[in-house]
Amino acid sequence: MVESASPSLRAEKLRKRFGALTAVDGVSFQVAPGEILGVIGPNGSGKSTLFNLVSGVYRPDEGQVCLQGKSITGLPAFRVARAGLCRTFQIASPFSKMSVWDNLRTAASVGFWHGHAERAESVLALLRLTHLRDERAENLSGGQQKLLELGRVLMRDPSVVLLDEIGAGVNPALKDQLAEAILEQRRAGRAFVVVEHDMEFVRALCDRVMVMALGRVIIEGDFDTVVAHPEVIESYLGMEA
Amino acid sequence: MSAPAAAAGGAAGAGRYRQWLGLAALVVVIVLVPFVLQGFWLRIATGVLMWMGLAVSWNIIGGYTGYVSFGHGAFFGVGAYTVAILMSRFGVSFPLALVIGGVLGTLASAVVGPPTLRLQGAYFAIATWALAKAFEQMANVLGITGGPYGTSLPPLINDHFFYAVMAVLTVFTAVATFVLAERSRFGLQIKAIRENEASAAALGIHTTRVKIMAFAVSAFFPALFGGAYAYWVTFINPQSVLGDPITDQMIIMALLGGLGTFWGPFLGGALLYILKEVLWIYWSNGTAYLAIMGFVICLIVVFRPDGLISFFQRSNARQPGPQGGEG
Amino acid sequence: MDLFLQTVINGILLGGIYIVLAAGFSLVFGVLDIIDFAVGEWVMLGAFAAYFGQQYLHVDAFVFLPVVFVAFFALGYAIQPIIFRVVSTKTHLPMLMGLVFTFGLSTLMKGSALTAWGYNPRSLDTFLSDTSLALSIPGLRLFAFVFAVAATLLFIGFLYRTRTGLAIRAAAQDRDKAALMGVRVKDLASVVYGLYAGMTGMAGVLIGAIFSLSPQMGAKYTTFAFFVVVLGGLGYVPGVFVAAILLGLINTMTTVYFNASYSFLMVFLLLFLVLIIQPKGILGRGT
Repeated sequence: MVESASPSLRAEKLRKRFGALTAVDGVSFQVAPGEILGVIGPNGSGKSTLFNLVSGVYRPDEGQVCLQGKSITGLPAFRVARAGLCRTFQIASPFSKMSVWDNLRTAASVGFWHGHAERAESVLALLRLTHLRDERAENLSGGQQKLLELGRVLMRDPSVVLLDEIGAGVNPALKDQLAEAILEQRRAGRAFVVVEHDMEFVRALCDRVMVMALGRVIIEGDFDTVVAHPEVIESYLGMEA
Repeated sequence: MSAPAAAAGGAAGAGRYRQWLGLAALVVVIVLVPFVLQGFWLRIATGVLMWMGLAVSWNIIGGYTGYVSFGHGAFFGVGAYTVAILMSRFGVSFPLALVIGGVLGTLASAVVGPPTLRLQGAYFAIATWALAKAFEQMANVLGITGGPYGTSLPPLINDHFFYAVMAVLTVFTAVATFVLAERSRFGLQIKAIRENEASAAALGIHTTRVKIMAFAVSAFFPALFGGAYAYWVTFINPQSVLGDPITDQMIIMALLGGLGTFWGPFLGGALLYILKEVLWIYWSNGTAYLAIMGFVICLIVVFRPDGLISFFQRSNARQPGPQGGEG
Repeated sequence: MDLFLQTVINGILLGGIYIVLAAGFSLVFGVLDIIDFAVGEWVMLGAFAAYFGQQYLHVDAFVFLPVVFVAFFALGYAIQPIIFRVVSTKTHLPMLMGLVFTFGLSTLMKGSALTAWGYNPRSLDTFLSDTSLALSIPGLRLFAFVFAVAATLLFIGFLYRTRTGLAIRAAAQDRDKAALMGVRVKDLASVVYGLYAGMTGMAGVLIGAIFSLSPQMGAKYTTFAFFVVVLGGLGYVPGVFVAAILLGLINTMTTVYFNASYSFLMVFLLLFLVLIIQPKGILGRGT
């Protein structure tokens, strides 16, 4: 594990069981400010559960999570968000009947209301969604909805962003846009943890990659090293449906 | 609102002023009615006002927040019985009794709200339903409420007075709802909860607290209306103020008009109440109204779930492109 | 002691009928994700069907039972596609809309019944009325219980021993995966809803024979259905047995030892409490 002076996010030995199934089995990782960590692994390896543990959707059975030095272990989702860690969901979850503009405003409604209009303008510009500001979120294409998800998260000026398969189902042009936006944001010091299946996307975006299988971390390192590792190859070929 | 936002509002900006204009027009009409209508028709107008107010209130929790309460009649009943008991047994004046009724109704919702609002959709519906029935049964068995035989209030026959009372309450409800649901952060938050509660929480919204507040606000006005209603009709019993018809009508009026829209419940409330009275006048029939209500609910849900108001709204859907994501 | 025993037995007998009432309801929730607010009205219609069968066809209510089953099955089968359309995922807030739809259905049924038949309660006599066996157990209730148990066993047998039943159980577990495995969910949904309507209609006949019937009786049985199913665990059919008997006992005990009006209050409050404390039911196995 790469040790960092003061990581934005540190998770230690997280464990979560659902009945007889141990979905996450002693996972530890950390991300430094401005770093982009990729999380890959076959379906069922525990990636989404890990996100849920870190973001407060589930409470871990064991382990800890620290955000900028402060513990957020076991806090409910809304408190984790208020502390500065925001996430997107695997299935696009915009506020369908609300306009893009209102989606962004709602994201700012707790703690970021002052100056929210200016911030919303700049977020729209960053994601090139300005022309859609008054459009209902449900009328956006899938890819645009993913961009909106990112936009909402950015309204809260988070120190850590968890992106759960944000590229899934997005066409290549919009995907590039997403990547651009993420890289631009990291310069502001934001850390990103990205779960993805598209390897090109991962390689282009991530500084480091962590591979999960069966709830554990198999290996961690830079993309090329990790991908060549025999265990990784086996777990993908062996398990992927 | 800061300048760039207001300017960039464009069509939305013009719409802002239109809403306030609409409200102002409503107030003007309400004020003028008693000069035009008398007696029986004035009483009809009074009823229309009350039901519009009830539908608008229910819409806060049912339409805007997406938590369909099948027991809201309980709050109406609490207000009604509070006023009835305070005025007839303790000689309390109407204004004071009314306010106390409102407070008690809200308190009831604050007690009942937290546990029930943790439940999702169907469970919440059943819980609120069970609760309202429990309230009705309690009114049936307790002595202070007069049991199944009901209780009466000091009589007052004054069409203009009661019209004025309902008018004030309805305007109050309308303005408060408009500000809270359409022009504030709170409104954005409750709508977000309806659309996707998990996302709302992931954006820092304390969903439980927001829901409880929405529930309380949605209970406060019906409690007031219930109190006013009791004084107006002079006699109440469990069936008339705590029974199914109260909640049923609140729901269908909001649904018919347009769930989660501001003007929908006004439309639904007025239409349905007038329909009920027409049926009563021309056919002496109260039960056919029930059947028709039920039928209308089914039709709306199947064919026009957005309600009648959607006929008046500029279509918000652009040409379907590649649609993605699950709603 | 005699009174106590009799009360307990009566409670159990009553519970048997509630099982029939709730078993179908629970299944509908499991497979179709619908809470049918109209369940009480199905009961009411079943009771009235038997009543009119007796009035105009001079057929005893119990003999009429299979007729009611078939007729209601057909009715439910026919209505189901509309419901299915309402709760399909393309609607905005499908679950909510499903609830509201069945609520509208219930109001429609009740209003129509009231308009057609008025408020007055009626009674339904069968050849078993006014008979009693040992311990003054009314023959009527005993028969109803036996019938209810038999019907439920048949229902369970169907679920667990036929291929269609297997498909239904699969769909109840996971509708999407079942569809992927070739289960024709839409057809199945119609069968399930038809079964439910048939069972509930029959429960109505039994209830109508034991108690009186009126167009407004529905609300009580809707509450009972909710109660049994929530306490037993929504979607968990075996839980229904336990909760139904419990409900029967609550009813008879409070009526005998306190006051009939209190029994409703107790049921409502208990339902509310269970929802608050343990929405998965007293056995903790609901969805």
